[in-house]
Amino acid sequence: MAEYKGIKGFTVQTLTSDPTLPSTVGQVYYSSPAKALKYVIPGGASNGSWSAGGTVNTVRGLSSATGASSDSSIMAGGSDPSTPYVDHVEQYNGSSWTEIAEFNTGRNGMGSFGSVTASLITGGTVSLNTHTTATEVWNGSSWTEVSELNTAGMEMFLSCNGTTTAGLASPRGPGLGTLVESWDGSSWTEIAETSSNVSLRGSTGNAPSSSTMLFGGGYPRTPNTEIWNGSSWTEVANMNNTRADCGGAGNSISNAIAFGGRSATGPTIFTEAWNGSAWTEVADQGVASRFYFSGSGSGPSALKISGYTASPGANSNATEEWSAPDVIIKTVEPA
Amino acid sequence: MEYKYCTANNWGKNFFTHDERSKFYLCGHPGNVWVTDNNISGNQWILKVSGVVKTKTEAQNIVDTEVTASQNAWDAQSDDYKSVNLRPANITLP
Repeated sequence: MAEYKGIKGFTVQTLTSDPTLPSTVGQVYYSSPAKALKYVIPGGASNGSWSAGGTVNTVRGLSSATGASSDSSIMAGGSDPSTPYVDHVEQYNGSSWTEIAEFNTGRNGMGSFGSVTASLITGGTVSLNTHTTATEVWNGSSWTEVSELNTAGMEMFLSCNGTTTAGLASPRGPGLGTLVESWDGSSWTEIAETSSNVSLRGSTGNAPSSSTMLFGGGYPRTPNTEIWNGSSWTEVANMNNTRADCGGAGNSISNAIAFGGRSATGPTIFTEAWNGSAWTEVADQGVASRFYFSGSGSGPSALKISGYTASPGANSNATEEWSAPDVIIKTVEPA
Repeated sequence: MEYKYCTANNWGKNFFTHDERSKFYLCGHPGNVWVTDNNISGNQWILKVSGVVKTKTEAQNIVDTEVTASQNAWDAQSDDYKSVNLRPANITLP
């Protein structure tokens, strides 16, 4: 029988930790902690997948989330049957959600961006048909009210991104479909409107505000995608699936995902990955029938959190984690 | 493609994992109905989650009951609600 050494010219290495670099693709090794023979295959969005994460404590739709990865996020506000304008905040550590400090103005559909230790929420709905300009900043331990948006908006929960020193928010509502405001760390300024004559609601939530993407529609639904370069919006390639209220995650304009949302026939579980020039369909989510969920994270690591189900008032407590690392480790199964 | 049907309660973290998703088709539907590939990996997952195996007809009936209840609840909502929320659509399991 041929031996590995005879074929490849070297023996199988013993490693104490799994490789993470793309240059290791194709490597076969013995994992001493796992006591197993493993090998490395290409990762990336095309080999990404969704898994089940920890369930939220307060189920809700129209909440808003921030955070850079699937093991670091905070989710705030939203609407549940007993409390339509939630002020609760929960933090995720990669396995479970914990309630932390409440913010000042309970609301649903507000925008948010930042990290688990420095984030911002703005706008949203505070009572029937009443939307707010209120903005609050989280410093890791408490919420503080800061300068207000120029225009009150609703259903901004998926369309904002940046940091507490530089961000973009897209207030939504009747007549506001193309409006965008810029946050400079202390105040809001209206900037150039998007070129699509529709409300774009998905965004690269973890990207710098100077290289933001907006994609997918509100109502009407659209597959449109636009990129912000710091001074103007440019329409680029459409998504493959026309939808509203799709989640988004990304850390640049060349690495992002769009997930879920509502097609003309109901909630979808499609995920699409953006490589800088085109959208490609990749792995579906595992739990169907969710919409008005919140999302956070980057292209390689993201969360889809809670949301409404098809039944009015019956919200989902599910969290799903997206993972698309550079490489994927596989274990050689016994024959 | 041949599928298997079960009901199981999604407990959260690791109810289904990235590795499992790479080995078989899996999709959750109303009524805690889950559809998997009918292969070794899909059957191992059903055992892991203590799934109660159903026939396709039984699973479809559970989903239909849930969707009908959702549609009735939607029908009872205000016009304002209906103007921004779609009536839940019927779901046909694969």
